[in-house]
Amino acid sequence: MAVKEMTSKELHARIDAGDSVFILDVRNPNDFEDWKIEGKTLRQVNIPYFDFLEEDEAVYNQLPKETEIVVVCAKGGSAQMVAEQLDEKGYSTSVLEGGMLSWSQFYHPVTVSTGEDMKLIQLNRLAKGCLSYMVISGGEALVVDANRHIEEYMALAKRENVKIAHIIDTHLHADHISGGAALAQETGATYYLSSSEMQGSTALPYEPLEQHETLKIGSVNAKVLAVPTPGHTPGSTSVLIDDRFLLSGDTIFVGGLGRPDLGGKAREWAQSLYDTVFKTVAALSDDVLVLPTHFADIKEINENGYVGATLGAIRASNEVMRNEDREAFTEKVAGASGATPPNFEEIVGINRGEIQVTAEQATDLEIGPNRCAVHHS
Amino acid sequence: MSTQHVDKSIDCKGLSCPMPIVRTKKAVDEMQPGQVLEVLATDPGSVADMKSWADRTGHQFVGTEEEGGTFKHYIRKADANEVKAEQKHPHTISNEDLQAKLGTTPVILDVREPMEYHFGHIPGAQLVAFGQLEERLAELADLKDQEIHIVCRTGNRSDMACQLLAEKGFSHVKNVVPGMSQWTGPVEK
Repeated sequence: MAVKEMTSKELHARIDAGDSVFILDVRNPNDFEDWKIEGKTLRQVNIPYFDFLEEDEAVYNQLPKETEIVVVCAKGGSAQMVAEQLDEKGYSTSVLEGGMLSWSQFYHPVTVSTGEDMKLIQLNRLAKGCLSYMVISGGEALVVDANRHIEEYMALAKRENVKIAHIIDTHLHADHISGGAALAQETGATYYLSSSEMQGSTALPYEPLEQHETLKIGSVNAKVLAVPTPGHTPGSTSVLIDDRFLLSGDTIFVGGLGRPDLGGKAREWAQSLYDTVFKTVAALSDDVLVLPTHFADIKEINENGYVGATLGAIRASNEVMRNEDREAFTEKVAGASGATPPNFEEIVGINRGEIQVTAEQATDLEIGPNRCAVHHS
Repeated sequence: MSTQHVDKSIDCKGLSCPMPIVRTKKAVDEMQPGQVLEVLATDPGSVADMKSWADRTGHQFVGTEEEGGTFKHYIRKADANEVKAEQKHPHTISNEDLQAKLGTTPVILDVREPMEYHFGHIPGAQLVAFGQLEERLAELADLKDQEIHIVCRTGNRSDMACQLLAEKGFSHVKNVVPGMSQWTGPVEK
């Protein structure tokens, strides 16, 4: 037998198809605890690669002989070593090519809605819990909350045979590096962001989003309405597409609300979030489909393969969305915030164009899970 | 740092995971218990892995320093005797009691390896590695009738040091237990 290589795409396809997949993650236990591959039907164990250097047969007890074992590490090197060792002992093994690094750069596009006038695609960067969108109409595309691997969006536009004309960031991201400005430069599209997010920085060319109430995509009248929804950051904006889809940024998630504490003004921003939820969003119908920029748990991926829920369903399942007492709401939301995203200050600086980093540095800064949602139900 | 004593040094610069740990394990296997290994590496992943590997194998992770993009990791090979040895010297003082006395500038001898001392010791503690204690007795002659507190990591090397000094006529020697592994007081680097 020989050790096979498996790409992130192949691994995802197998997990997605509900195949029984057994993952042996050989990173050190802290890294594994912090961040790992997830899947609804996945079996997984963590045994650090250096345990395989000891001559102790007990480490093999947890490994199945009858199933293929996919060995995963940070970049692929130690997984290869362990896989070869397992292969010699008669296990069937493959290695995740490029390790968690490659997994963190894998994007899975899912069509949310397709009709005569418009097509809406969600790009799920599974490892980071980051979602971005492409709205297509009349040969043109709007991209919302693009991540930094802009070739993914360019390839998708090419497959769909459309030209990217508009790019919006719903807010200044703190957990991942935006691809918005770079994608605009590469495609000639216009990059929009609420100017209060830039706090006076002029390092990046952008069009103030607050000056546009609607954007037109293609020749067909797909309406884009910028709904100011501050709370997560003061200039957070949601985008309402065709009165049917609310691209909610980090303001409303399937599982709850955005965290207002990342600017050091938790109470003040929590009150803005209250106004957003009970004034701006309250005016929208229960049928509107909320499509957020993040998810915190793969359980949020619905039976159609995308992350999203109707406003009615989110209102029904999140007590905090029904708590109309402003004081109690502020208390609860400002108080329940947890760990900040790793490296968020540097990431914010990069997204404002104030700090430049190499691709390798960008990778290191972004590695790990997303921590932008507040968990409370 | 280069002036500090290490028993062995290996160069893993430019190597990526898993090689720094594979080489470290091989080097440690060839060393004597209690000896200190220096590992030079450039892979940032080696920082967490080195500590995690040492914890799981029972070797002591002494510390890591970074200098111009190169990490220097220090590992002390586990000493089976050290863990099991029965402490024999009858006079001991607890970490807490010693900490309470720090204001009176007590005499403290730290008998660990220089590298362990380098990564954190009690303010005012003097370094005399256990292996050099016997040959450096002359330097300590003035302390013969004074109260001396002897500390190591877990109280075992200091116990042996106490016995040695008591045998050589030092009259007020106390073993600090359990030692630096549990020390919560001030630390100097």
